[in-house]
Amino acid sequence: MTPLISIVDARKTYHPQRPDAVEAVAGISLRIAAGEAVALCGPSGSGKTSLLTLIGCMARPTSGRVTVAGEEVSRLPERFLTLVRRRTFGFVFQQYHLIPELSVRDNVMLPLYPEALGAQEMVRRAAAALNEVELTPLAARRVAQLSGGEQQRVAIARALVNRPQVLIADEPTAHLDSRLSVELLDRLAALKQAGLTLVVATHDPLVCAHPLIDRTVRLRDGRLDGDAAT
Amino acid sequence: MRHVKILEYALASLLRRPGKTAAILVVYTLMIAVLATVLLLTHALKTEAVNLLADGPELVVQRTMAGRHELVPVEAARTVAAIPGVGSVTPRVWGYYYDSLTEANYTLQGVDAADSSLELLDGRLPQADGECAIGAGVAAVRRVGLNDDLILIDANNIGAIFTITGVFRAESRLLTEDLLVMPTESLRRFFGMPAYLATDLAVSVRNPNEINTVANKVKRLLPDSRPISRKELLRTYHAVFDWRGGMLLALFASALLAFCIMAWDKATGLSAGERREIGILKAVGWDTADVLLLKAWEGLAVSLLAFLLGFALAFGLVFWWGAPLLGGVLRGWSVLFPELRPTPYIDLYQIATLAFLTIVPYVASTVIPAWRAAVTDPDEVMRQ
Repeated sequence: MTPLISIVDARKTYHPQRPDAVEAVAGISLRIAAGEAVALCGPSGSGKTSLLTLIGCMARPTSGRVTVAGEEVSRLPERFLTLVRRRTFGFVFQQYHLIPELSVRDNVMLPLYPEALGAQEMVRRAAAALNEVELTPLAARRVAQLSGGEQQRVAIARALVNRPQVLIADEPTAHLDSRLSVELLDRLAALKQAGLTLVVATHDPLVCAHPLIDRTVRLRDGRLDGDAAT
Repeated sequence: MRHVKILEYALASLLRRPGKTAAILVVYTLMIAVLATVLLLTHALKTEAVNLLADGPELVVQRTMAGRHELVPVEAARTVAAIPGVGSVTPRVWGYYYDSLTEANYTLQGVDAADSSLELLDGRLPQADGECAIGAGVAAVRRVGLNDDLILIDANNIGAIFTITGVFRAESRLLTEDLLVMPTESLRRFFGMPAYLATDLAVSVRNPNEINTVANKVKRLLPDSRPISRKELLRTYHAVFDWRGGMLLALFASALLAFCIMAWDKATGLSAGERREIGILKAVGWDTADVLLLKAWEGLAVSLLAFLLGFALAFGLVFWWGAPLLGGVLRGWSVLFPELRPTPYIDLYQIATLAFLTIVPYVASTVIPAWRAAVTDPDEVMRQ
């Protein structure tokens, strides 16, 4: 089966020309199938987030290839790379990265502005995404007024609003207690059930061991430390 | 549609920062208002001068001695009248009067009611000895009106009483404001001017194309004369107003520069929140062009609004309120300022120039620094 995402010998070096150059991803090859749930596990500094940025087309590899849905994206110009990223991936950041002065609905609509949709369509899509994370009653609230768990659900709704094929989550349980973590994983499981591909970077054993995860990829010092189906 | 959506976001974004947006808007509006006032006023004064001189003589002949204006013998009028192409020659009597009571300078002019072109008058022109008509500025500072008496000190240091028979209400008050007219013979007596002398000669020329030829002939026949054509007078007015306007513009251009530096500083010093917002937008799928478009719309919205408000304010100041602040600077520091009510006009070229000089630098100073933040990889936001 053709993988949805394929990474071949990818390397990512920060400040490559400087003495303080850091090789965050040191030659990783990885294939992720459509509908699969993959957990990237490893300690801090192991390269999980850097690998996520390569998978999600947020950055280009220093060397190696990244292919999304059969298209080599590593050398695409920024405009097209952005388009692939916007239409294929939804991101849930560790710090959520919401705009606190905006309402929940406005935050969720952010990825839709460059899509040139009509106002009604934007509102309709945002409502659908908010409904998916059960935040419809809070749509008009300002994000700053929400709890951490609610903010994360806003971040998930924003990630889903463009109907992506892949949901990428960076340390999604880092700021949640056990109960909220379980709730989140159940929610992710439901999304996977609906056909979404999941790539989660985490060092939380609860996530790595959760039944929703099909495969755990272990990282250490920017290299694969093991790739196991759970 | 993409532009509309991003414009929508840009406007919402400006409204989210009302204090900052309002502060920039106020400073920007005032700056545009001042620049536009100078431009409009300079143009208005030049137009006024044109209208004013339209009724004046085509040629004025003065006499000079040692490079200074001297009284001209009336008989010189006959010499000038004999030049082919000359229609009429009128010896004019006029001069200045310093009124120590009000510390104001008046322009005194002799008129003959029968053949005067001064028509815009409340009342009538003076016809007899002891009568005069005055400009609105004189009426205001002396607090006199129609049929009141006006006492002036003549050349013999004796008080002369004049009855005011009219007050000028000219549309253009550039010159009539400080004007006081009386019959020519009365004025001669008042100034102590001999009957064989006049202040200058007003010459009409039948064919306007021959004005310069006539002027040259006058100069040849009367070597101590200085013929001044209406065109030259107009050019002098234009030069004076252009020079004054230019000086003011140069001053305010430095204000514009200071504003641009401030805008640049504001934009380069993007707040942590704004920088973070750009990062988030990029991370959720906006590309650099989208972010630049957003910043361009923000800059355009602020600068266009400020431009419209500033220009409207300047328009009101110049055409409705008579430019109370800058008018005196541009018109000159004579003691009696004419109250200016120029005819409103719109000069598209002038608007376009002003817009180019103010909107473009502001938008550039907003977009360029934002571009520096927008070209960073979106993965930066993942690392915050």
